[in-house]
This record gives sequence, structure tokens and C-alpha cells, in this order.
Amino acid sequence: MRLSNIGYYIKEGFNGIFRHKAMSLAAIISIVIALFMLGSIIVFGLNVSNIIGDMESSLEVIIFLKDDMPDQAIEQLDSELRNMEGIVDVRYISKADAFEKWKEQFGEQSGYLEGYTAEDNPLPRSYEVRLKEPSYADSVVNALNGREGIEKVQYNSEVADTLNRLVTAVRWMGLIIVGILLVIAVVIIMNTVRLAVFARRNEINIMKYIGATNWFIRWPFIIEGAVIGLIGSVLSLALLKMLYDFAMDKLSGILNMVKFIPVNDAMNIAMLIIMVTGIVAGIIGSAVSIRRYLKV
Amino acid sequence: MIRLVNVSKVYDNGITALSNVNINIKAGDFVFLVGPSGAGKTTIIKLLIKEIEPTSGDIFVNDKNVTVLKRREIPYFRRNIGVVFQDFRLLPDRNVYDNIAFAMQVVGTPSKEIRRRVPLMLSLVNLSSKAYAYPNELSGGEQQRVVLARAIANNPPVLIADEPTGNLDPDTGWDIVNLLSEINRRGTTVIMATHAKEIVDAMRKRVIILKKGTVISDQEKGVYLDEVK
Ligand SMILES: Nc1ncnc2c1ncn2[C@@H]1O[C@H](COP(=O)(O)OP(=O)(O)OP(=O)(O)O)[C@@H](O)[C@H]1O
Ligand SMILES: [Mg+2]
Repeated sequence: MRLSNIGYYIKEGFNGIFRHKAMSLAAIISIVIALFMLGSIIVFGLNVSNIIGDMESSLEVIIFLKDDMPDQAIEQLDSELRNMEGIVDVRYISKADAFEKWKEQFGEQSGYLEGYTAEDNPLPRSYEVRLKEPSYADSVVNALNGREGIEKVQYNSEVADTLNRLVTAVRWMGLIIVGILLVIAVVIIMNTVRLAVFARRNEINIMKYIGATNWFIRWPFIIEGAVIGLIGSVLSLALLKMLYDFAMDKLSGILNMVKFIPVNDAMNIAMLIIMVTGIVAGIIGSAVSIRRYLKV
Repeated sequence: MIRLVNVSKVYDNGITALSNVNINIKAGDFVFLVGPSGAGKTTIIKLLIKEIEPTSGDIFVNDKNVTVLKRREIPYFRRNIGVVFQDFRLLPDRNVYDNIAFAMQVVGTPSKEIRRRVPLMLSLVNLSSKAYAYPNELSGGEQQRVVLARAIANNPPVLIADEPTGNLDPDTGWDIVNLLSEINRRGTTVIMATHAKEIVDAMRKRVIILKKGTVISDQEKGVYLDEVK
């Protein structure tokens, strides 16, 4: 590529878009649709996988301590827990904490604790431990079970297993669907660009007849494809963000337990895939489809 | 400079457009290519710019054998030949100015030079007022003159004009022929395919007459023979 021509190629690339407004618009619209579909699935999949992941990690190992466990042993256990692999959060629940929690949950009707105080009650002290991943549950539970001073180690492994399988399944499904949609998006974009190039095949032939080299003709088309891909991906991202904002607004009122991925985080992940797909497919689409018309 | 040696062309549909044509044109010549419609004039021009391939025979331009040119050499080869196409071949999506500028951009002319030269070309063909018109807004004669301006913009050593006066009134036609003649006087080899008897007869240049794909006459200071019609 001759350096002095770069300016010309870029200018021509943009000129091409404006000279063929209807064609460019059609191309941009179909790119927006294709990429919007892709982006929606990505964002949806991210959220589902995130929600299940949240549920998973909210499963806690609860270690109930015997009332007669000496403070020193508790301190020992505490530091062991904090250094144990796979544990991300350790919370000590004192008798007073347990008492508060109970009252919070059952309110004043709680006849069971009638006459007891925060310091003196039959609720056991405990540790609530959050795991990095459910797969650490076995090793953590085994290490603690039956230890001196520990009354009981509680963990709901069935739910964890189910969630674990679910999250794996969702991730794979999501990956496959995204893969398929990616292919569809690329095909749509390349086809659109091909039509746009086809409409200008005469122009390409004429350029060849007056002595233009292939690359001289190709570069503006490639830049045009890239710019159209870029416009299409930016528009589809804007649309996606708008709709995601809107959906979160509506849904979070109904599903207030569920934590959605913040719009910007979701967009960041979708953005990379969408922009790369749009631009690369635009470039390759024009480069490939122009080839046959250059052979004169 | 230009040589056709035993050139024949049979199109895919079986029509023999040229059979065994031999033509030799020296650098600096001015040649009329005449003959009835369908005689093969345009076919010869297309062969010269390697738009089509001969069925047999050899074609030389600038002592280069055109038939064995490599694909990537073709664009550079074509830049030696300015062509006024019978079917114009203007880029429909850009205006007159940009059409001429494009031909200069193709060969890497600096944009300053392009800005200087395009108006000059336009005034040569008397179309300065149409610089910003698009091809579909021009009459046939106007388009023809734009094509001529484009063909000479890069000062090619060879200029081929296929019916350059076909859509023009006699006066404008003569303007164009005088322009071609002037270009030829400055050293450019000019080949002009035409049906315009008055022009051919008045110019007294070399006349090659084609009929049904064969050369039936080739004369210096020739005239348009009546039996051609
Ligand atoms: N692409 C093509 N495919 C098949 N036949 C063709 C093709 N182009 C031209 N021909 C035929 O070849 C013959 C020569 O055509 P050509 O265009 O060379 O004639 P011409 O001398 O330029 O005529 P005119 O004066 O009308 O322009 C004609 O019979 C024409 O029908
Ligand atoms: Mg013809």
C-alpha cells in the first residue's frame, strides 16, 4: 500500500457510504439486527449464569459449636478457617448474634426464647462460612466433622450439586447458542456486504479498465466495510443498553431477590464480541466478495 | 508500437468477430478504424486493453505481448492507453470532476496536481460548467466528452477513441476531432473508430477498413470507401 494513498482510501471509504446511502443503510440495519440478537443472548446468558452462581455461593457451611468449647479452641478454629483453601468468608455468630437473628426472623411471637437474654440463651454459637465454589464443600466438611468442640457441620450438598450441574449446563448451552448466533451474524453481515458490492460490480470493472490495481479498488471497500460494521455494532450496543436498562428497571421491581449484572459490566463483555464481529465480518465480507469482480 | 498478428476472435456464442487480422501502427500515427456496424472495431479495441482475449494470434503494444501479460501487470499496462469507450463507462456514483480525478488518483497523481489539471481537461472538452453534474444528468454527447477528458488526463502514449463523435452534432464532432489531432501532433498515437465519413475524408489520415472481421483496405491518406456501407 502506497503511503500517500492512505488518505485517499479513507476518504473514499467514507464517500462510498454516502454515495450509496440506501445500500449502506440496509447493510447497517441488518448488521444491527444480527448483532442485537447476538448481544441479547450474551447478556441474557451472563445473567442466568450469574444468578445461579449467586445462589450457589450463597450456600454456606454452618458450623455449630458446643457451649463448652473453650475460647482458645475457638480462636484456633477461627484462624484455621480463615486459612483454609476454598473459603472466602468467615463469620462468627455469637450467642447474642444468634439471639438477634432469631428475633429478627420470628419477631415477638417467638415463644421459644421467652425469658432468655442475649447473653444467656439456648442457641448455639456458630461459624457461617462461604465457599469459593461448591466443589470445596467436601474437603471443608470433612476437615471439620467430628472435631472436638464441634456440635454439627451443616451443608446442603444436594442443592449445591444441582446448582452446580445447572450452572455448567447453562454455560455450555449459552456458549453453543452464542456460537450459533455468532455464525448467523457473520453470515448475515457478509451477505449484506456482498450484496452491496454486487450492486457496484460495474463500477469495479470500470476502475479496472482504466488501470486501477486491485488493492487500489479494494482498500476503500474494506474501509467502508469496517466503518459500516463499526456503526452497526455501536448502534446495536446502544439499543441493547437501552433495552437492558429498561428491562432491569421493570424486572427488578418484580424479582427483587435477583441481582442482575450491572448494565455497564454486561455491556463491557458484549461489546468486545459485538464490535469484533461487526468490524471483522464487515472487512472480510467486502474483501472476499470484491474478488470476483476484480478479475477483469 | 501496436501490432496485431494473425488475430482472430470468436466469441463464446460462436460469432466470429475477427478473422486473421494483421495491423501495424507506428508510434505517433493517427489512424481511422472504419467499417460497418458489427465489423469488429470495438472488438479490436477490447483486445488492445486486454478486456478480452484473442482466440488466436498475438497482440503487441509497446513491444509487449499483451496476450501473455501477467494478471498483476495488467493495470500498469492499461495506464498506457487512454480509451474513449463506445459505452462511456463513467462511474455512475460520482460527478464529472471526480470521474476525471479518479483516473488521475489511480496512477498516484498528487492531489494538488489533480486539482490543477481536472479543470484544464474540462475546459479542453468545453464542459467546465458541468463539473459537478453526475453522468446520468448529462446528454450522450456530454458524457462522451467527459470520457475523452478522462482518457487524456494522464497523457497516455496511446489514445483510442471508439466512436468519439457518435453522439455529437457536426460542429462539436469537429471540435473533438481537432482536439484528437492536436493531441496526436504532440506525439500521442491516436486510433479512432468511426462511421463519420465526412471527417475521415477531410482528414486524409491513415484509414483501416474492416468488414465482417477482416481488413479489406489499409491506406495512408485514405478515404471512407463507399462500398463499405
Ligand atoms: N460480448 C460479445 N459476445 C458475443 N458477440 C459479440 C460480443 N461483442 C460483440 N459481438 C459481436 O461481434 C461482432 C463485432 O462486434 P463489434 O462490437 O466489434 O463491432 P463494431 O465494429 O464495433 O460495431 P459498431 O460500429 O456498431 O460499434 C458483432 O457481430 C457483434 O455482434
Ligand atoms: Mg463498436
